Amino acid sequence: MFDPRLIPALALVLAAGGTALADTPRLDAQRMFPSGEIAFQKICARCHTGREDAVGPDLTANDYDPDTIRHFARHGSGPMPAFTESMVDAVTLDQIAAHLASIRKETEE
Amino acid sequence: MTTQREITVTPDGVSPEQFMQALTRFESVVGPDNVLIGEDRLTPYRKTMMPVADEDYAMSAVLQPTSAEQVQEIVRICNDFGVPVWPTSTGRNFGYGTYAQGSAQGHRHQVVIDFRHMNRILEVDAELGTALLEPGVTYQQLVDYLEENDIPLWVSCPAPSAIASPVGNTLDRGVGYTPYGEHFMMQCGMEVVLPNGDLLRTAMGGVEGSNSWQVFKWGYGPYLDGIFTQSNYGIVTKMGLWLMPKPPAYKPFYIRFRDDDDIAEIVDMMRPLRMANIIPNAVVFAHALWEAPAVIPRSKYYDGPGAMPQADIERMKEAEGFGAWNVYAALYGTPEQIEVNWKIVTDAVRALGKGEIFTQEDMAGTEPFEYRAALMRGGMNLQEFGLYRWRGGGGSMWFAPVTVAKGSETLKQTRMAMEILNRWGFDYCGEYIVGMRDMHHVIDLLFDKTDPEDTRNAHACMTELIQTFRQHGYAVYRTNNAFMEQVADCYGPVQRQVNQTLKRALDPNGIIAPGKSGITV
Ligand SMILES: Cc1cc2nc3c(=O)[nH]c(=O)nc-3n(C[C@H](O)[C@H](O)[C@H](O)COP(=O)(O)OP(=O)(O)OC[C@H]3O[C@@H](n4cnc5c(N)ncnc54)[C@H](O)[C@@H]3O)c2cc1C
Ligand code: HEC
Repeated sequence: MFDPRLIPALALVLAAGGTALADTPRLDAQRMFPSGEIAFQKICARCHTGREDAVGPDLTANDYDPDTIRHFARHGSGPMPAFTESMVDAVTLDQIAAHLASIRKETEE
Repeated sequence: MTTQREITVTPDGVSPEQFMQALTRFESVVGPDNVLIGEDRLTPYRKTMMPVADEDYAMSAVLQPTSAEQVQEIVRICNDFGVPVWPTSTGRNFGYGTYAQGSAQGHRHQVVIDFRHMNRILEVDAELGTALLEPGVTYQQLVDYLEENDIPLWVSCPAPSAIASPVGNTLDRGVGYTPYGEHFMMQCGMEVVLPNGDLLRTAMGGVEGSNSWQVFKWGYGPYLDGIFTQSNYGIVTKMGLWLMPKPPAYKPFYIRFRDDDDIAEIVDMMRPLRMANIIPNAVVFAHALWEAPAVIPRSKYYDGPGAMPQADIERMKEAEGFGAWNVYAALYGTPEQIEVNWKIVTDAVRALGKGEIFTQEDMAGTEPFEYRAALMRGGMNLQEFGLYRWRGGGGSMWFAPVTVAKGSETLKQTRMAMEILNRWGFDYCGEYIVGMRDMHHVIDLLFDKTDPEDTRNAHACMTELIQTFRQHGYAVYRTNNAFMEQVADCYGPVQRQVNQTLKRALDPNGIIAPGKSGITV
């Protein structure tokens, strides 16, 4: 019998050529996160989910200037841990602030 | 370049002049941008949740190497100047010290290595399910890599998942919730910079041209990987680990139990299912006071001083639908296998005559079920940080004694812990994480670090927990920097002597993480 579930597995073996995939470039050398939106989703939004049972407050409900974002990120607050430059760099924090501002603008319009 | 004025502290026993010289040498190796000093850059590193003054555990500088060769050079400089260095991978060891280094007593202000810039995924073998990672690789990064390359392998992560690392977690012998949840068991092969600057590859990694470094743990002769976990004998610069083949089907479920004393029967019901691998994952038995923090603040039901009164706990359980004990487990395999095993599980619950069982469909997107379901398949999630909102004030320590997987034992440990915690004014926020025959009884001692009295009480409570449990033959599997000495004592003088003998042999100048796990020269 032909089992259709085997197709993806087979395709993978062919694609990978049965060998190890390897050696990604250092992430920080090419920017840790490609955009403020992705950085926000992969870190901040895991607590700032916007849901009622979220760990942190909804960050799209208020305006935050880049300085406020930077302050909270570097110092943490209560349950929110501090983030070092090596975790989220200064440029990315500004991009996060811009991303939040753009969501805010959309919802206001 | 570094100026004198920017340095707030120097390592114990190292003069400011020596330290300045060492910093200049560090800068020549990793570059000035990767030697962090000064309040501004160090602030995010210095916050700890321990009931002690953070100043006593503050690092003097942070180094960010980008290669093993740089780490070797760092270690040589440390030997030249007697500067101690504490390695971290991603530094998310919340409740165990975070970036804290040293044990305060004469070992303050070490230099910290932050491996975040060494974050390459060096190899993933899709067929064998193995990976070779640098220490700065986060779980998020690994998961992204697997998804982007369509590799059907799952990671096993601790609850801080996205922001923590496989290497850091495994080196502190942490746990996750999939069938690969005992992380050190799933580790295979390491590269270690030794205190003298040599580069060791463990097991098969020592054989030139070998391709089995990530598949055969033991190599030949004494098995060494273990001595580089929870220790200070070397700095790990690469680590191999095993990844679980993604199963065709996955069925997470939840069983709710009403009474605190049900824990004994839960353990005895689940043990045979776990040992026979019918339920193959690291199952969790979460108490109501662990369940609640994930979704609500304590103030919703109690805002007074001391431990939350039983009557309020009962009121909360009733209103929110929490059990006294909440069991999270999962089945993995083909749909046919899962069907057979589901019948075995539901029959066992029915035979017990208590416990209500719920599937993912029953729970329909609600927390805490969703985050538990994510963790049991290695999904990224931070919902459990709600624990830190429960009481507020930023204080947290894990008290995590090892338990035998027998109902009578859990009943005894739970009662002992509850009595001590409540007497000091703290809640029993506890869960059991189930191993093969053991369980990690994990309790979050949450306190208000902004309140000096609460902080003193937390310290005294932890001391009493460790001592009283010790009198009953129990000890924790891991602890924060402030309690490493006391915990090392629980394991007896001979272990301490052997650890010290190894330390003296490998690191005669005591430059790597003096004080870690109570080990010094
Ligand atoms: C809400 C919450 C839930 C948690 N749940 C879990 C859980 O489910 N399971 C669990 O295990 N933990 C849990 N933790 C504790 C902790 O956050 C995790 O264990 C986390 O993975 C540790 O941080 P890390 O991975 O960044 O390791 P790091 O902080 O980088 O490393 C931890 C320690 O290992 C040693 N080390 C690290 N890297 C090296 C190296 N390269 N060479 C030599 N030694 C090294 C050092 O002593 C270091 O201090 C939880 C914490 C919170 C707040
Ligand atoms: C582990 C959970 C968690 C993560 C991850 C997290 N936060 Fe937070 N954050 C919180 C919590 C909880 C609060 C509320 C703090 C308090 O009660 O003191 C908060 C508060 C904030 C505030 C202040 C909100 C207000 O109105 O008071 C800002 C701004 C913020 N976070 C930004 C961020 C950014 C940016 C990131 C990502 C880089 C991030 N947070 C990641 C949990 C988190």
